[in-house]
Amino acid sequence: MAGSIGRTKIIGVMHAENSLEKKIVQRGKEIYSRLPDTSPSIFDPSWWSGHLLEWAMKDPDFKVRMFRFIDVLPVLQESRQVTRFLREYFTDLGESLPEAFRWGMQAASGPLTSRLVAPMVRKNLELMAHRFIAGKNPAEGLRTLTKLRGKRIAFTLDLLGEATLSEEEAEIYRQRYVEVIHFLADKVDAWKPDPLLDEDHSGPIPRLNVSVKVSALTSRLDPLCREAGVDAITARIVSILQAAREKGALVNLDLEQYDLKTFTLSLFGKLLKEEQFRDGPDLGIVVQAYLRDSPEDLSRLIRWARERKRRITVRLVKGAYWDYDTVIRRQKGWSIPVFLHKEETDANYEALSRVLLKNIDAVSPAFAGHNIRSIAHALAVAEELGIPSSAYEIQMLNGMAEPIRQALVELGYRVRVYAPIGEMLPGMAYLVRRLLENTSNESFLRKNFVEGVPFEDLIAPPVPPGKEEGDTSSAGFRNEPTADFADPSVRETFEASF
Amino acid sequence: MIDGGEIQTEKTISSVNPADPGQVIGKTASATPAEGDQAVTAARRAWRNWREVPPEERAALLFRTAARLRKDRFNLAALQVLEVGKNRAEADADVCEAIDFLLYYGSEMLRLASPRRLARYPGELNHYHYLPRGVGVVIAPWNFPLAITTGMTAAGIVAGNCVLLKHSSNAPVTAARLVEAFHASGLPGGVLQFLPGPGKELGNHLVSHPGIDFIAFTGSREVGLSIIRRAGTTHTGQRNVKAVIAEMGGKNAVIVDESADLDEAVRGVMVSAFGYQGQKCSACSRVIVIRKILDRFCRRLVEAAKDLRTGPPREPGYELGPVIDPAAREKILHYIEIGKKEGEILFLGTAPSDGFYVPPAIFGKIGPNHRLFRDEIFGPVLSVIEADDFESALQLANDSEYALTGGLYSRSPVNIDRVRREFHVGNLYINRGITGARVGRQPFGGGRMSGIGSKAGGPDYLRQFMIPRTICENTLRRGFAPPED
Repeated sequence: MAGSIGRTKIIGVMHAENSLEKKIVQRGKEIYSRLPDTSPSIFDPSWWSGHLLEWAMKDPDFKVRMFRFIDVLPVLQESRQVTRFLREYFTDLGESLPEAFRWGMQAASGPLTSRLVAPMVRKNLELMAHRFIAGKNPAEGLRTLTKLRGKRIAFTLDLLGEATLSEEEAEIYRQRYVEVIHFLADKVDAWKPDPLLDEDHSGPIPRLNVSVKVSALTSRLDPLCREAGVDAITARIVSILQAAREKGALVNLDLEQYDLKTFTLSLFGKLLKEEQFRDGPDLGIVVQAYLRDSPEDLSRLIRWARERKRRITVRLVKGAYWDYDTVIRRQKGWSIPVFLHKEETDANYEALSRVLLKNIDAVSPAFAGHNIRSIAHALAVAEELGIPSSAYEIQMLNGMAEPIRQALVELGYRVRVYAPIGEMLPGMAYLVRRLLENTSNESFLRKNFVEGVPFEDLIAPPVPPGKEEGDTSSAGFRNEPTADFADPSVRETFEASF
Repeated sequence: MIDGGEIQTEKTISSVNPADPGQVIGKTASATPAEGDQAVTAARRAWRNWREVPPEERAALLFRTAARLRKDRFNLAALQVLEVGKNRAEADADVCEAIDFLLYYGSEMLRLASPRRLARYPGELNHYHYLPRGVGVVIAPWNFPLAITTGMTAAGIVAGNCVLLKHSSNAPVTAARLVEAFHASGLPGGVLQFLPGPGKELGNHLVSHPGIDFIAFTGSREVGLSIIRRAGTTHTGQRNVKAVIAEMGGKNAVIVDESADLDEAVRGVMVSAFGYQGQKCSACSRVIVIRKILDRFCRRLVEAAKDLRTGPPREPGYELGPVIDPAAREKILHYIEIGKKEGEILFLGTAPSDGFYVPPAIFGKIGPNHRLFRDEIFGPVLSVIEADDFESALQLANDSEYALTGGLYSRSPVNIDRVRREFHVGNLYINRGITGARVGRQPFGGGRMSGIGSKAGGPDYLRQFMIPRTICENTLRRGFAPPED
């Protein structure tokens, strides 16, 4: 008796899983079938950048040189310098470099050549950067945002800049955010209404949406002087929130590398409790699916939202600091807080998607990413739970996966694009990171648009590897790990030692 | 501590908190040459046994001592914060480095322990192995009071020598903790003896002592050269030519060229110049900047410097603490005055008046004919030097009597290649700061007036504490040789 009931239960669960998988495939097919034959512009071989990326994906050595060259380009002021660096980075590749890239290096080395070659190189790279960057300044950015609006796409704006090395630089950042909020508010208010973008299932949502990185708002990020850092940041973020409340904008706090996470989340918690912000502005936060402790973080955020009776936006991302969080932490001998395998991150993303949707009464989920499987999964679970599509949105980076983006809009989903605004120098660094993402072996976009991996493989559920591999870093003497002062218990123990 | 027993002396040394000089961190006895003599006698006696202890046991002792330090790491770090004015991160790193030295030299000894067979020829058995030198004195500094002390002492001991530790009077309590840890791990009393005492009198006496076979020293160039001179004199009754392992000072430069990532360069230079108030032989005291980016670099550097806060390291909010003692303070303030005359103040911070504090300072328009270009200041004083181009930047960087550490911030493959070949320092760093060398990863030491080139935390270090020996046996008898292995 017990046996047959047990078996029915198991079959019941499998059936439910199969039926969800069926829905996921269905949603995925809907999107996939709408993809035009063209690639996302960044891969388009009729663009110069398409050639470049194709080569980068074939040849790892070229890829490293290419990205390092792009990284240094903004600081090269004169044409002659550009030519010199082209030579330094690429000349010894000689014959193996495709025709299109020899860039006049073999030609006469005089100033005439550099006057021709250098601006061309710079122009092409700027064009490439502009795929991803919405504009040099708010005015240029507005043109891009208006175009996006025309395509029925919403935005969240980020301000790019150099690293904040002083409190003066942090102050400048604060000002830029306040200015851009004031500058854009009336202009976006004047746009024609579009319920797809201006409302969710419960009412109107802000058109003006900005994302802020806390590391830009202070130079005092040393975990040992957290109090000083918190004070400095709090004053600045409050000033930005005041402008946002006045103009009806939504403010998101971005998450960065792991050692800032606890700090950023507790700052967010503080802001949620602030009396002056009880009635606004709307706030958003990020959860990174590649962090092992992201399920705890998400539970805590949902609990805060309920306790404070404030709806918050939660942007679910995979995570963009994997290299930093593994490489740097390994050098220090610290534990690695991220999943080591992409499938684990993907599986966690799906688990967290479900948690978000089950708590739709408390949070507004934003599913961020460019992976059809991850997106289709969220759509299917929402459908399964009977949640209207206006209750959530999908977020993508500007310049990535335009075909997928367009398909989702056609299917009636709200899509929001993460649009950075900034000058060439920080812009190039941003460009390099996006190119690295796009050309990585694990990139969904590469798999789909470049390698033509079949749909069935792309839509398959992520299967994490059974056993965690041991630390694969090379052998040799291992140093005693220094104390991780970002950990409060370490700070307490040290204090007690006095 | 002499021969395992604690000795009280009439005179004592008080170690005070440089942030609060009224606070006495601890007191030690103060050894005189008489105690020095006793210690040498005890060491020579203990050596007769210690040299026979198998290397594996000696290494195991180092590993046990490392475990002890690890258990006690926060106490040891907290002690450094109070005794030498390091902030928490610096103090913690120092303790970790001490642990690293014990583990590293222990494993190095295991690697070097077995005799090596050379050149296989039938009938001829050639072996090459290492023997300890005998009895040595380790003269250790206050600026890495646990790490450097542990490095030199551990190397001496694991190689089979007996060591007399004469530690700087500015941090004897930290040194005493190390000695306690060694003895608690089973080290016999005569193998490691602790002789805190005044540098000149006691130090000179020990260096000249005929019963001393080697001196391991880390400190200033002046003292280092005088030790080398003194050790070069062979006295009656002295059996061995004395070996000196010396690591001295630096006037270390970082080059920043036009392709540098300025975010990184400013960060790296700030940490390298002002970490532990510049009291590191590896500290950056010159930054050589290509004219094209000089203004931009200086602007951001000065802005970043404005954020430096100086105060008692006991409180977590301060990047900079006090310098070690009144003499250091005098010297650094004096150089700041010289800097005002020789160059231009780009930045002068503030510092509390109680405690041994100096304000951080950045000077511009410094050139090769200035004292700020040449003299080791050992404080939070940074000179900015302008260079027309990379060629002259490299020349300026190499223009020093020292050759300890150096760095380059650049994204030009050609320039990076050139410094690899032509920037003559013992520790060259590319696109990162120039302090923070780690055991086993960036073996530390330099040539010219920075030292004899011994590299602490590297694969050649231990050999300096040993003497190689060759044994050649003719195994042919009556034309018959044993079968080859």
